[in-house]
Amino acid sequence: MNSHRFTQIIDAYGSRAERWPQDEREAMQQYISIHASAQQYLHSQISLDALLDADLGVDLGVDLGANSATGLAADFGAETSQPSLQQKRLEARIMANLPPAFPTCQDGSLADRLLAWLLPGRNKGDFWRPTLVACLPLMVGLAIGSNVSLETQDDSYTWDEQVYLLGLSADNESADDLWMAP
Amino acid sequence: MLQVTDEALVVQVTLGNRDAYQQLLSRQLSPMSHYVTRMMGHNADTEDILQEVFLRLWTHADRYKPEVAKVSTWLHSIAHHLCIDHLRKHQRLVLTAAPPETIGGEEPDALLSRSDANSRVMQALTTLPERQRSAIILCHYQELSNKDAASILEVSVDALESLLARGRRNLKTRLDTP
Repeated sequence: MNSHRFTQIIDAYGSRAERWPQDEREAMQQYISIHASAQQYLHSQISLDALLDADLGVDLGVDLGANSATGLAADFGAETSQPSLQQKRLEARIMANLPPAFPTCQDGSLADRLLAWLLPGRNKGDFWRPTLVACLPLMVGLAIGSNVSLETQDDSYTWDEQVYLLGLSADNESADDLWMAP
Repeated sequence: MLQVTDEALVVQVTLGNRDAYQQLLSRQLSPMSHYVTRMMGHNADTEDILQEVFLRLWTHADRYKPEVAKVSTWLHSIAHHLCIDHLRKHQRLVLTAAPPETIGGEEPDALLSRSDANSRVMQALTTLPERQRSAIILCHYQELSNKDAASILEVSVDALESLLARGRRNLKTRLDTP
């Protein structure tokens, strides 16, 4: 502990030892016991801490108008109090406005259950399900692609017909040759 | 009887267990209310912010990581961000806080009633910059450790100490000014 760190801690956390960082508390106390100037510096912070502490566990809503926030603040003011009427009212309001829980696979109609199965919502461990569904079209496409041959076979003419057609084209060529001859 | 931990209750909340949620709500509502009320300075929207904090506990429970933070730290973090967002959106406090120069009373502290002192502190707090205010509320009033407070404010412990020191200095000036 040195004077720089000592003033840093006092400036940040104040004069109350229980607010100092736990691992430096003992060193701080030793430092104060040795140095008179440290004790003086500590005392300079006591008044601020006393004012801040006065605000602990008291009515926060005093003299601040009459709206719901004031009531809330006043009611929550006593930090050690039991749940009050105001707190219960707010609890009830929060519970009443809570959205329904995400449907589970056991609830609702078949469509709801299917949707719950596909979109498990909060349980990250079940995220393989929507992923699987998203991959289904790809898998179907791959299956079709691997089973269907891309080779095209023209079966529109039989062997005899093809020979006949070749013969026709050969005849035409020889006729053209005759016609073109000078 | 052994009390169920907050962490175990959050696990139940992720499964849609309303009873677990209500139990957690009862435990955490009071400290969260103190934090939000001090941050907002009795703003009329305090209740709405609290409701939003606990709505997120219901809807975002699966995002909670017990290895990173305690449940109360996580909720403080949500509340902190909501308060900061709200304050920045509205750019002013609804509370009619007295300007700093009038906060310091003429009379000696010893003569001030307890409620007057509280009111002065509360008003002085609301005039602090948001992050300094939050740092003081988290460390002094909510009694969180410096590591938890630093994680809520998303700063290092050194930066938190700097915020606290500046906040306390400003607070002292506002409270001491005659």
